[in-house]
Amino acid sequence: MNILQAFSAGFRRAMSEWKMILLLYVANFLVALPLVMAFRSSLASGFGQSMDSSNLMQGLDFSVMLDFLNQHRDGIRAIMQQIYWVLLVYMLINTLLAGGVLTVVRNKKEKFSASAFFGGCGVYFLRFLRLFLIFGVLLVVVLSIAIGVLGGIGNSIADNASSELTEYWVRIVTLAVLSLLAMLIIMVADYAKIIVVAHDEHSMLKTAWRSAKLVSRYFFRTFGLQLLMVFVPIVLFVVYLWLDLSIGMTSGITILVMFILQQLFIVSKAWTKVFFFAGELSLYYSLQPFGSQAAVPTMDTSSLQTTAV
Amino acid sequence: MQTLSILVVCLVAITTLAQSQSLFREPLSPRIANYKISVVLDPSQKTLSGKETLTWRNASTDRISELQFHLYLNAFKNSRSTFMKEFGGANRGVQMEAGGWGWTDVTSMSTSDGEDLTRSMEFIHPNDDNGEDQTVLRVPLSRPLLPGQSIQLTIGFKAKLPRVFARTGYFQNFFMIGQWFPKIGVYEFAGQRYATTGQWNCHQFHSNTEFYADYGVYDVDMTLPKEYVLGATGIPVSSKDNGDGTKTVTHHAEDVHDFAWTASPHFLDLTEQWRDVKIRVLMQPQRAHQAERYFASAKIALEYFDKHVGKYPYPNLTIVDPAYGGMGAGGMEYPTLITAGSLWGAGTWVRFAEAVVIHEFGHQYWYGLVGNNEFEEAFLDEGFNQYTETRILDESYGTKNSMLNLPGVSLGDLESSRMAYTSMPNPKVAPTATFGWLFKQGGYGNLTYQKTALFMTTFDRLVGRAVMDTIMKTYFERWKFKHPCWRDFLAVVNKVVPKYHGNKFGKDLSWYFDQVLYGTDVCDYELTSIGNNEVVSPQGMVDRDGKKVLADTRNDSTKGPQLYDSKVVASRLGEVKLPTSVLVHFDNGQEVREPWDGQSRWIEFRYRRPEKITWAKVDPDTVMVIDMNLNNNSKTTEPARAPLWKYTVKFLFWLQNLLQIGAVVG
Repeated sequence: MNILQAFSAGFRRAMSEWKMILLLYVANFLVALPLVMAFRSSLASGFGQSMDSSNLMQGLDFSVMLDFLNQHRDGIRAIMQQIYWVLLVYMLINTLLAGGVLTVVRNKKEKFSASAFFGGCGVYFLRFLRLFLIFGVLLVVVLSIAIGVLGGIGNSIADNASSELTEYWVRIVTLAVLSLLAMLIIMVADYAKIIVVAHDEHSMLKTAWRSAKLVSRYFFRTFGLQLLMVFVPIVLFVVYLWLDLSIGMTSGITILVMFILQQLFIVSKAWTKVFFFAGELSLYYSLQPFGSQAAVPTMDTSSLQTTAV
Repeated sequence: MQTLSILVVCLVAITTLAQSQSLFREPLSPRIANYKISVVLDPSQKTLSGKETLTWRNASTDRISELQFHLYLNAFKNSRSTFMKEFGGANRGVQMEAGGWGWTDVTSMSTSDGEDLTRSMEFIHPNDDNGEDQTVLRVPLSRPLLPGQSIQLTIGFKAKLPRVFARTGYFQNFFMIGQWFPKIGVYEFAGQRYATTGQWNCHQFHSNTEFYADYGVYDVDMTLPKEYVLGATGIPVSSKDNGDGTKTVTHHAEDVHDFAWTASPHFLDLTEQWRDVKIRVLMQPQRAHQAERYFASAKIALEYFDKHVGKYPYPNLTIVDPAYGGMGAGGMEYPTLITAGSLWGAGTWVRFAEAVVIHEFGHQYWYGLVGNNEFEEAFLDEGFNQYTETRILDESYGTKNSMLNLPGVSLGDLESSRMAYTSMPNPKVAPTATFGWLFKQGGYGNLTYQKTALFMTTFDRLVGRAVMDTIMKTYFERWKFKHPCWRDFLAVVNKVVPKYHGNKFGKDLSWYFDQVLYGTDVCDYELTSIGNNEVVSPQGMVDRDGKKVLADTRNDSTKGPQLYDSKVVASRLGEVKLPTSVLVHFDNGQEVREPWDGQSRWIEFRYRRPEKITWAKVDPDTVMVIDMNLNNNSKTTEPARAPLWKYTVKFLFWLQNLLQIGAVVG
């Protein structure tokens, strides 16, 4: 299977898993909701009966927003500080749900079922959590080193640059390298999860290492597929941005329309997650990197649970 | 007859020659400090070697027994100068790098009659106890200089330029050379500004402030490699090829109080004309496309000042676009020469290039032509200039988007001033009228630039634009080429405002400026509440036709149309007291404007009308832009909810995105 076929297989699979995608979306929405309500409450108490809030309809009126932020600095800061915790909670939930997603999409014939999905969540959660920690630490370490090294080189070039164009290029190249590195690590983490599901692996360090070996052995195919798939969310984002700029939020109706479009965009990002896993899984099975035991596309949930026990 | 003709021709020729060396028929200023300088720039060593002839006149009635000089390049000599200590090694985000230090040495100083003063020179530090600061030099005279008498000194100096860190120095082969020659301080005589006795006013070089000098005439010969493009204060009068790969360019400037120059082999030399003023832009080649923005904004500024303040007297203006690594030299003002700042590709959605040109050009007036003491009253130049910058920028590019204009997000210049002041952690940290170097707990920029712009704009709106323009024009005309202080500006205000407003604001406007300039209190007015209560008939026993009857609200024949007891309460939350008004709007569209002197803590307005109040607003014309919170100035019975949903929905969306991006490893 070439990367186009894997891309296509992933695409088709993701398109057929709307229930699961909706579930992922709802999880995202519910985690965000408490903080959003706190923010809404802050706005409501901050503006109260002021007429100035209406100045925010046509755009971000800097004076109005500034005075609001100045007067409610502590409240807004408290909300912003809560974002770290909410993000942590969401990371854990996302790790939990990843097991369900992979359980469902690895089974080519079965459609989404709550029992299979949540069963997969439970079976793989602790292992995925360890993978999350391994790759999370790896991501932070590698990016920190890269930022240090590339930043140092970039700064020394930029400090002596006679034109800002030199610095622009230095920063663009640095950003591109960092993005590619991050993509690579995230991809290795994805394949590690696939290996866990495909081979029922329990040693996460060993799995991480096998995943890294897989990616290095089939680098052009795995990374090529990744680059190809990355275009999808980029295109979706561009489309969203265009709609946002075209429609604006200047009346009750356009606010509602934009709310719907924004939530559809979030749904599309949930879809993207499934699409990535499905595409990578298709490529993985076609590569058969670790022998025939990888080819277990029809394994049902009960056997998984038995294995886990 | 022939001899006479020859004599006449010779006289005309001599007069013409003399006039060609003179910009103005009559001196515009007292011309107290006059310089002839020859200086050689060595671009490879980043050094200057110069010889200066200073002719200085004692304009006081005192016998002066010493002279004081600024040697400001020594601020960059080491980490122990007052300047470096104040900034802790960084200015405008730029760090001083090892090997980038700069300094200056006076190698010789002698009088015209041959007396050598070199050995008697000593460094002093009038502003602090920093004995290691070498930015002020004191030279005792063996014979006192008598009132009206002039002294001519010949001064030799050598200087190493700093790598551009702040204001002056080099980056590669870009040179911005300011504060570079031994410059005499100002001797303030009794009665001048706040001086009660004659005294030198010669401050050390500080991180916040650096300008105060007497006006004079400058003739400066600058020798540098001939491939370099040079720009300088004044007008070029000659350029000579020395035959050794160098050239000597001579500039002549009159009635200015400083001289700066710049050189680079890479400058694009562009010129345009505005009336009789030649505008020259020295542009970095990669930013050639930004030059038009410099020209356009300079013309806007020239036009504005010409119309609202007074005539720009000089024949030229040079705008320097600093090299990328030399941006620390950007945004500076010198007579007839300013430094700007732009970046390749910066679109007009951000008007930094325009703002900096308009701001620095404004300094030609507030600092250049009106020569206040920046050290002691920086608000008179930086603050006044911020006020005029705000007017020009907002009126030229839009009040809500003159600084930033992106889809959905925009920012005006006045708004940016409000942002800087109202967002201060402690806006009461110091009065605006604080000596520049005494803002020890910070706040110099916000209080000197932005707060002044805000209280000047508030005053502008209070007295009216026409009155304000008259004030600024009068102040300019009365104090150009002199050294005014705040008292002098206030005298103009007190003369002009009563002429237009009678006793409306009193004969002495100190009550306003004492609060906002000398005080630290903040201004905050609030529309506290609005209420509408139905007028109901009394309940219980009432006297009717001599009898006591039980009031029946259901069958009350005396009941007329429904009335409402309505009231509006406005409050003064801050300590600053300003006259204002409250606008009350009723549901039939009628409006009542209630004047309020703003003195009491609160005020209540009551109405009994068939209409209900729908909204009310204190300071309805937004006169008080110095108000810390404008959002609380109004209240409505029907607040708009849609905007709150708009930002709730936006916040939800971006939080959802953040969660998805943050959890990408999971």
